[in-house]
Amino acid sequence: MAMEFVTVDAKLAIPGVEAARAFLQECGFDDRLVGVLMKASGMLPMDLYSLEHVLSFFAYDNSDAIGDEAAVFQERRLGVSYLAPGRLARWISEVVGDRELAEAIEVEAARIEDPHVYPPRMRIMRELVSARVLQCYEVLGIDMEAETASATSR
Amino acid sequence: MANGYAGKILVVDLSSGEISSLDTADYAEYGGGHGMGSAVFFDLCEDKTISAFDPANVITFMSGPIQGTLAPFGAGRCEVQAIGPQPWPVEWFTRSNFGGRFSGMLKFAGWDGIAVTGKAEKPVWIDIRDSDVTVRDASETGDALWGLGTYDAESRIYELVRGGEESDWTTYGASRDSGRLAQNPAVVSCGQAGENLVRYAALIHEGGGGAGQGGFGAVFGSKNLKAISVIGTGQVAIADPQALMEARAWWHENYFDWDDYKPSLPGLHSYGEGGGGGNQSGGALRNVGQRPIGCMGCTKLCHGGRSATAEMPGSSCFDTWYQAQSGVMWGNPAASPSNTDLLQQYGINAWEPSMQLPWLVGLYKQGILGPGKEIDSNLPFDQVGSDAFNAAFLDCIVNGTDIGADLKEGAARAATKWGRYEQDVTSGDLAIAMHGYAHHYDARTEFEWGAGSALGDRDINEHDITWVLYWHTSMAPLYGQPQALPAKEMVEMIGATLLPYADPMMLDFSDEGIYSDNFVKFVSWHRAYTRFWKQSAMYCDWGITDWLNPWADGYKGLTPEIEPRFYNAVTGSDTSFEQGVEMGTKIWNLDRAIWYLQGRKPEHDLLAEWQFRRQTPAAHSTYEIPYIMPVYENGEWAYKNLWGRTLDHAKYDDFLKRYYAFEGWDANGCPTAETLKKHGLDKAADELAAAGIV
Ligand code: SF4
Repeated sequence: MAMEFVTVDAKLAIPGVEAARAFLQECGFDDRLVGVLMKASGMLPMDLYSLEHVLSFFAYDNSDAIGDEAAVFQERRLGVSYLAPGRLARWISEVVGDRELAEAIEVEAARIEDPHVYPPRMRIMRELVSARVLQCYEVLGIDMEAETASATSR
Repeated sequence: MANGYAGKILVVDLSSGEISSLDTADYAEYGGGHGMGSAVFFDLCEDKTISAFDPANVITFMSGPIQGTLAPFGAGRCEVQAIGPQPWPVEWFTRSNFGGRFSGMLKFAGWDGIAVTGKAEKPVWIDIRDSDVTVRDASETGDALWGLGTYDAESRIYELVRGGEESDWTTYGASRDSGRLAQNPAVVSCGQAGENLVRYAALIHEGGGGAGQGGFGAVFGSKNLKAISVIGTGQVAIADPQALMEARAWWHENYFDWDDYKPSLPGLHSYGEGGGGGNQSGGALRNVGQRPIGCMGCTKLCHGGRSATAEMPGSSCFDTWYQAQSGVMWGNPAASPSNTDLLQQYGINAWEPSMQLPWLVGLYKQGILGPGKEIDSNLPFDQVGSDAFNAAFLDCIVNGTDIGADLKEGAARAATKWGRYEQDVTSGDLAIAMHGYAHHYDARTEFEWGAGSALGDRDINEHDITWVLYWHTSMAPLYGQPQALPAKEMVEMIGATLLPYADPMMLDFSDEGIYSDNFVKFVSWHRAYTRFWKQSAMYCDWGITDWLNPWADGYKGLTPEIEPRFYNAVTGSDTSFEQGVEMGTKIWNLDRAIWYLQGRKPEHDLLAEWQFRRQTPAAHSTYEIPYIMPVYENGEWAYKNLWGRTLDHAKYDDFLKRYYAFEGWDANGCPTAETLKKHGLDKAADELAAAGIV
């Protein structure tokens, strides 16, 4: 594939307890972010109310697996979780209140030369949001494994 | 004469218990599938103004000549039609289609279709074993099927028909040689949603196959009909077996290269290729541990098996999306497979809960819905996405408890009752696109999808143009790849197949182009092409149209050659591609006449308001996704990103007027007597005249 993936350089400073709590907050209805899950069989707009929702949304994206030898099956089920990086960054800055993360997304995404290509940008957004959410879990003493287990058994 | 038809259409009147048949020859002018179904419905349902739940409603299951044969993507498709409880505000005569084995098995049993009318006094199921047809007791004191989920009902019927002899053959008929099979019967059933008249209840056939849109599961429920089972030991008589085998070899040679997996764009699969191709060349499924599952005679086998744990057997496509909707948005992607299975067991059309859920969560977030709120609900919305929430949500719909009492009527009717329809459909927070159906592909950009759906009875769900002129063209830049073909070459290649017009200007998706006379022609062509070749001849929507084929020189696919080639080999006719399109026009006019007999008005041809307003609405919601389509601007063809476009009321209204005129319809959109008679639809013209409509 001619796609250019980059290693994310940005290092996010560890947030304080209050900031971490604020970053994990769910926003209200009017502030929600809408991502679109694109599949060949149709499109599904997804309302996203928190950084964790954004991560779940990206979890359904397998666009960056395309081109792998074993990915033919996934290709048929290709799902692109589409969020324009600029739009996500703006939402993170204005609604989540995490300017550092927003800026990191914009800076890292701008390193991809082709203005249209998406999977590397998705990977950057996913990695950075994931890093921030994990930081917040750690700062707040949230057990990641327990969180995942309870999510699946809830 | 051997021509692919079995020769008879089964008619079951559940009120009287009478079992009779119609001669297929009387309906052969419609080809098969949808055309035949419309014509049979027209004849058997005398009063078209009745409600979907009226015992006199007629539900048809239609096969056609190529079903049960080696025609690719055709053997297993089955068209279902009736007055449907799902469409809104009018319960339109509507359609759905499912794959699997049912249609082929029906042919092997000697039937081209089934029409069911009346209402049984108590729950029943229809047991078809070749020419033996029995209406059997499905109640607790009989075969105890009522109350079961669809998968469970199907398994129970396997036992009942096969006498528990799962490992051995079963003999059908009086003598040993009359017919022996080791196969299970093909079963289509409703779940508890259908029994309880949920307006979007689906009919399910095997794992994941189903007629979702329309609410046909509830039509079953209203008739006290749990299931239809069919086992056939016969065969389909082909007019020209040699031509059929040659066609199959030709298709095999040209449609896909089994030894050379070659996606049409690097990293993307082609239209026709799918898991089956991958499976057979030994790659994909072997690597990810999935089983190939699909319809009779199809090499694509697109149903897949989602998980090694046997959850979601055969579920693919939109039936798996409900779980994505709940899981993605609320942090619980792992909750998925069991939720899809629950949906299938209940027999719920996945589109509705997928549309309802974000709307309901929005109302909850706004403090409008919840305990003691304006819309009172005790559902655990604080746990949305969890298995517990999903079970409670689907249970309340199926059982009509809590807000389920309103939601079982569908979001459009619930929103109307709650006084929210206008506000929420104008804002787009409730993403109804037309006729009460959920947004699917975007009418604002893919106008043929939106207008075609609005002019009909439901979301068209036809992935042909959308595949080559939206999906591929939008995915290429997303992956940093060049387009398969420059815009001009692409539209010229596809345009040449739009017979009889052969005009690439019909594919101009520019802001002006979608309202042009060329696009009027394109919408008309598209309605006719799909009505015949996809829904009446019944080539699967996911197999054909073959417009862009990576294994062919210059990407030129097998359309328009493939459609008539198999059809003619089986029927022995000399039907051209254009004649098929012409038959499609006739069938489209018959459907339109039925809708006018139901009370159709021009306002029913409109699209929901948000598609005229919503570009980037409040907050951060948007539909800014790449939507790259061909446009003809400033004298040349180009690909353009059309995201953010909204429709224009005045232009849309004007488009409708010109469309009506193009089809030979009157100013109210009703086919004129002259038009109907031109298509040989004299009976429809007479009935409309008798009703004072034309
Ligand atoms: S492409 Fe898929 S849905 Fe269509 S006939 Fe083949 S297996 Fe069935």
